[in-house]
Amino acid sequence: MFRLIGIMVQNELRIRTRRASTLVTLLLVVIVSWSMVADPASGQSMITVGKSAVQYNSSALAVGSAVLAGILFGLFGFYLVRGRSRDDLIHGMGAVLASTPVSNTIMLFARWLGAVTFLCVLVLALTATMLAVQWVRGVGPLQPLIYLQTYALLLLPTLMLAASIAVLCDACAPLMGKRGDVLYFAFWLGQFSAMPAELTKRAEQTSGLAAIDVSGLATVVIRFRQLFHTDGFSIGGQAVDPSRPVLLIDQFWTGELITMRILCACLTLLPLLPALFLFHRYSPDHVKGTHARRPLSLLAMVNRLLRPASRLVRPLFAVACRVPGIAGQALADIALALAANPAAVAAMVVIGALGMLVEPAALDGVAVAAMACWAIVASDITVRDYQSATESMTAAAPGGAARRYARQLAVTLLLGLLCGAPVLVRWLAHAPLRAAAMFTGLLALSAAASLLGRATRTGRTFLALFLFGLYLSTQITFMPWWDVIGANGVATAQSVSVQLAAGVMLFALGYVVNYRKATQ
Amino acid sequence: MLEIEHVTKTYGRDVTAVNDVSLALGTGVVGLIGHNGAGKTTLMQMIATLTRPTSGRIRFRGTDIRDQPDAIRRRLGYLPQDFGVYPHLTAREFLQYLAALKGVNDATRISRLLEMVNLREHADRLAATFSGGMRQRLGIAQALLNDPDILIVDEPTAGLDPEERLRFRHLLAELGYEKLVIVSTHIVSDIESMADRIAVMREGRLVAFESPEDILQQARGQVWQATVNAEQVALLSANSRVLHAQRQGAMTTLRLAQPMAPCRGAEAVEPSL
Repeated sequence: MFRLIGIMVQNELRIRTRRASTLVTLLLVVIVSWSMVADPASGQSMITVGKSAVQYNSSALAVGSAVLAGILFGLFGFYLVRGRSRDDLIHGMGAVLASTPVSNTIMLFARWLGAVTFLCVLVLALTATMLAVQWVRGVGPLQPLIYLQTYALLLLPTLMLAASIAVLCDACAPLMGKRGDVLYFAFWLGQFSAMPAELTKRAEQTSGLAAIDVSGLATVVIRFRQLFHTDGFSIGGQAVDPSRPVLLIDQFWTGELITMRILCACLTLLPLLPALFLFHRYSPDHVKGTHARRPLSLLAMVNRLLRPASRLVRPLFAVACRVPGIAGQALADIALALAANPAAVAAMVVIGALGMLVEPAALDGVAVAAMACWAIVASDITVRDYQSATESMTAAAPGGAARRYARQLAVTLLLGLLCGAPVLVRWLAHAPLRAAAMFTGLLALSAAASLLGRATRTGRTFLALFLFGLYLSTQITFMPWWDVIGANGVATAQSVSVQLAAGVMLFALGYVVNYRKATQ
Repeated sequence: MLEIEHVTKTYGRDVTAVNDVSLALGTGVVGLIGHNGAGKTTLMQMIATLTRPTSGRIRFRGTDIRDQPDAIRRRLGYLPQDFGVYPHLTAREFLQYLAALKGVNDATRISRLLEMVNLREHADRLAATFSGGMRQRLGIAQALLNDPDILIVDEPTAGLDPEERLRFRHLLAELGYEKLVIVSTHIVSDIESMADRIAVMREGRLVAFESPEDILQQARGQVWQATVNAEQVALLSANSRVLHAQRQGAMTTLRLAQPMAPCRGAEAVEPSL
């Protein structure tokens, strides 16, 4: 049995690590983890207590990076490892697997273990980066075991829970599509926005409830209170007062905390129980191969209900036939995107009306809603042909795959402008910098959506990154770099220029990726 | 070896995919023929334990596979209709993975199977680079990993070139000497040369289960061939069942199914499947 599980886990790792997207993910882990540690020379520190910096030794960097990385891993980890059942159906392996004598328990456990092992590979990349950071910006000896211990205790429960819920969503047919994606995002948001007040209610002692603190945030908060006897600390990058003494985290983990984290890790296995009970085992009674290509989602249900709204855009097809060249092709693509998403048509009408009627102060919220609506439609544009097996056909149209890519990017941008038109026009009148931010932000996001869609062949990557970024931008309202669509009103000429440059670069990169895929 | 007793499969209230099918199968090649939607794939999926019958039983060596699916899974090889491969695995890795799932510990078995399906040279290539025929051959190799007693092959030759189709026919015919091979297809010529018995399904029902010779015997004296002009083609098409038409210049040679000679000059010919 152990040999079988070992081979299944090995197979999971092979499948996941040999994807091009894994290399991209590893690079992102390195880049993001490097950038999450503020350079002390800049007058900032990753961990501050009051206005005092906490020294960058192994313990501090391990704890700080684990907290910040845990937020990201908790979200993206799920999206990175889910979708295996759908892959099996797409690749025609579902029926073969179902006809083998492997039990459901072993199948699901091996999937889970493979997912956790894969995520641990990313944690190893994080470890290597942090060691490098300490070597460049930190003090004290490099202690890899401290990092590994901290990541094992703080990050591992997060990874295990993400993997458990991913296995559950893959095992249960109704959760295999975007429905599972959206539900998990809501769950992840709930974890942080509802971070149990009970756990950190002005206490310096852990309670048994720490066992459900999967993210480990409450554990860190309580331990910091124990170490520094204050609530005035932050992790993430704050300015420090250089005149204040630098603090040291020497011994972070206590026996009690370790016990709680181990207990927490055990509890993260609980979602596997309903997964075992609900597992479809690729039975055609519950899942079909064609469903693997067609997202099963709440959005699909809404689109079905609002299908009459697509009649508004159907005349565009006839118009597109009469418009020559790339303009006609683009118009046809817009018509197709809108006809396939009548919910977006309805939303655009509502948002458009709101954009024209609300007070200027409320335009921020309308802008965020418009962009969220746009992102859901835009994420599928460059993957639509692959998912509907029409890639070869559309690549054979005049202009080939190269023009198709450029056209789909243009359509993505145009749809964004359509969604945000009322807001854009009103901002042009009285806040042109915000309008410029929105336009260049849309350009960069459209290029990113096209690149990621083409590279990963799923809209989920862009959608997950966008929703996360949108959430962050509503929280980090003071930084111009996060005001990508101008909703916060703090964009600067510099940030707008950078967005424009990013859009151009992402377009160029996407063009190259598209060319390479088309000529393979 | 395999007994299918009054098996029915329904989906919802309206769709009956398989309707009261009964078969008793031993070693040999059984061809399962029918139009798209006849119920062939659903029947095979029930035998392969992917789905359960709504009613009826399927027994493998006396054991009801509904209660003990592993009893047949251990002795089963299954090549589904929409078979694919993990693109990022090599052929060897793919077979190693499935060998583990099937409990096959013989390390040399994989090499022998790759040799048998003529993929030994490509064993360490990524499966994503394989042609359709190569993938089907890999599919047969994985189905044979555990030296199964029952081999279920669903539309194995769809999309293959004539040479590959011939190769598959020979392979399956050879396997049929020692195993029960159930092959489903709507390409009758594939079945002609390898099947010992043919099960014909229509709209979920089993309408015939005979040897090819018995089916042909029933059709003897009812198949005619005539070479006619275009005008007669239209007339005959309206009144008879045209099995085959081949143009030869201004004339057309027709094969027709008819209890008696459909026109003057028509000759009775030997029927084919």
